[in-house]
Amino acid sequence: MIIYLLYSLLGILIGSFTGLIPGLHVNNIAPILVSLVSGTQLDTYQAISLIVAMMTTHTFLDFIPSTFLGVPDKNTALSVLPAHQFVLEGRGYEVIKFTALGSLGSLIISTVMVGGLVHIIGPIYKIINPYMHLLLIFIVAIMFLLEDSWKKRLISLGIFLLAGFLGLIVLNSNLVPGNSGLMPMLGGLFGMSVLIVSINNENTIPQQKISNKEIEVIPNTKPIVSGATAGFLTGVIPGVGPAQGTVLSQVLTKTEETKDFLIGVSGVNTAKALLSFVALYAIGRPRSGAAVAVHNLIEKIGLNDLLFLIGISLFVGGLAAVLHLKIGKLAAKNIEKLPYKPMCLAVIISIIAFSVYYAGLWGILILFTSTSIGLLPPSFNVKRTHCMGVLIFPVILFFSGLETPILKFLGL
Amino acid sequence: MKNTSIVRLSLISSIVGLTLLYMSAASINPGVTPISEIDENYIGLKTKISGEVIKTRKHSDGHLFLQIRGKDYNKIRIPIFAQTNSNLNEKIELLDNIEIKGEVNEYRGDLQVTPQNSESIKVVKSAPINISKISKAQAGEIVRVRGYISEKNKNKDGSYSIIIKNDGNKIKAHIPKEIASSSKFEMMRESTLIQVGGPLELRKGEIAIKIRNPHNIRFETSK
Repeated sequence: MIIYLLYSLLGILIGSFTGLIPGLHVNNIAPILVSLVSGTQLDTYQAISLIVAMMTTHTFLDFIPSTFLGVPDKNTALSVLPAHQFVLEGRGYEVIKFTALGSLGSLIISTVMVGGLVHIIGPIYKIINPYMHLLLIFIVAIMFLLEDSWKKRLISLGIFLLAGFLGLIVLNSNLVPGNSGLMPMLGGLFGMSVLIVSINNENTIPQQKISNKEIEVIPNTKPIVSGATAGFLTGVIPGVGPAQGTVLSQVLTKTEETKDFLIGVSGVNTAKALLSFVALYAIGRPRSGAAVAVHNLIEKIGLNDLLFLIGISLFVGGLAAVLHLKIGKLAAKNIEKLPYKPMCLAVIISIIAFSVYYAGLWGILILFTSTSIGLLPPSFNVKRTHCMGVLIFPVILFFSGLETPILKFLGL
Repeated sequence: MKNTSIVRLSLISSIVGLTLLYMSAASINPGVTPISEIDENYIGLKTKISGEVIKTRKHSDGHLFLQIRGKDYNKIRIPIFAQTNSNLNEKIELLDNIEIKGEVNEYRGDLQVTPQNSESIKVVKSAPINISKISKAQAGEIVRVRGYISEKNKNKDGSYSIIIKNDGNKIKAHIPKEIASSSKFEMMRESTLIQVGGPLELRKGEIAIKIRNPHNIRFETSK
């Protein structure tokens, strides 16, 4: 038992490092880690302890770079991401506390939900699977309707389709192998486009206030539950991203505050990782990077394996939350002393490097195109989440059976 | 830079980028790749292959696992997942010729080509071989025959031997215990019109078909 905990600690160490690398999504690391682990003498459960710990820790700590980097100029930017609003008010450390609470809270809530989900996830999946495309169209329509004018709704549709066409080309052609195109596409839509706006402005990050005031758990139960629910939604419905899952669950739970969004959205990936283990056990399909990694190591997971995965996730979750708070505090204290522009530039260079690493030279053209599309939402003052069309549009076509005729028509 | 300039520049860049990507993607669409050429460098790429089905195994969850042999005699595994399998218009049988468009991936050290949906699989049915043309020299080859069951005998180990007759010619088929115990086998009565496939083997100097999977038995009409 001790050996598994030791491997979990090693996983936490690696996850802390990868989580702090901006622009690196948890799903990008899974395949690298699995291939690295398969070359060692580790037994299956030691490997799983290491991978699950690393990926869980990553989902906690990746909020630190995304909170403090890419902050736009508050005087010129039309739309500011929720976490950046807090940083501009000198309340960046509060975001760290909210996201620690959201990630850990949703992990605990998801664990409580597991007992019931084991039995219902299979039948739910069977019921919704034939209607998945309609469900996705419904979700996308809600996201459009949340914009405040018809002009903006039409623009959102245009952005969704541009991103969707990009996803369709990159994921269904031989430009790049398999899902290697995801890194430049998501890096451009959600990373580069944010950083370019930020680096273009003569802004300075205000000094961050470090408040040791505790966040109460009970009043924040609703957003925590909405994060766990969103984790469940994104775990079952392919293509739906954390922000969309959170907005949807906010619509359902009627929570509107930015603080609630932050608590909710931070829990999505953590809850998704845990609930995807349940989906792997119940329907045999890996629905997250963590589940894909586990599926590569155990073909058919049993109840004991599921309990082991949950145990490791909880053990790691507690430690990762503490680490997140400590490192986040350090970042908040020192961010205004750091050379902000060179740091953003370093992140831009790292996104370009990762894109080339994953997708070769095509990665640069994909990154250029996705960054251009990613610049449109802030320019038109609409939600950036419409860019998730990059995944949702191909998934809608796949489930509706239109993918093959459309690809044939396009000559792909 | 003014906001309208950013909008214009972003829109133009998006459209130019998409056009370039589309043109490049359309120009590198693959033709049929010989199986012998598929190696680790193909992992993650979409490819088109064709060949003859030489092994079939149906999983209890509805997945169908095939092994196909190309013209170059190289083999590769094709997993067809339950949903795709249920959407196929025709049942894939031994010795059918199929063309698959799918992604190359690695599963437990072996390469396989996974079709994305039923439309990525084209099946050209092959006719069963005439029993009179089967000889002992063909031991080890895979055949598919069609005929009426003229005898059905249970062996001591629980397996069954059946004699399939067509146009006055006959051949023995051996059905292992694990297949013989399936509910499908209960339908097998004398004079049932049947199609079976499997490798030929020599048993006590006699040539016989070894049925390895219930999927390789198909019942047709009765006399």
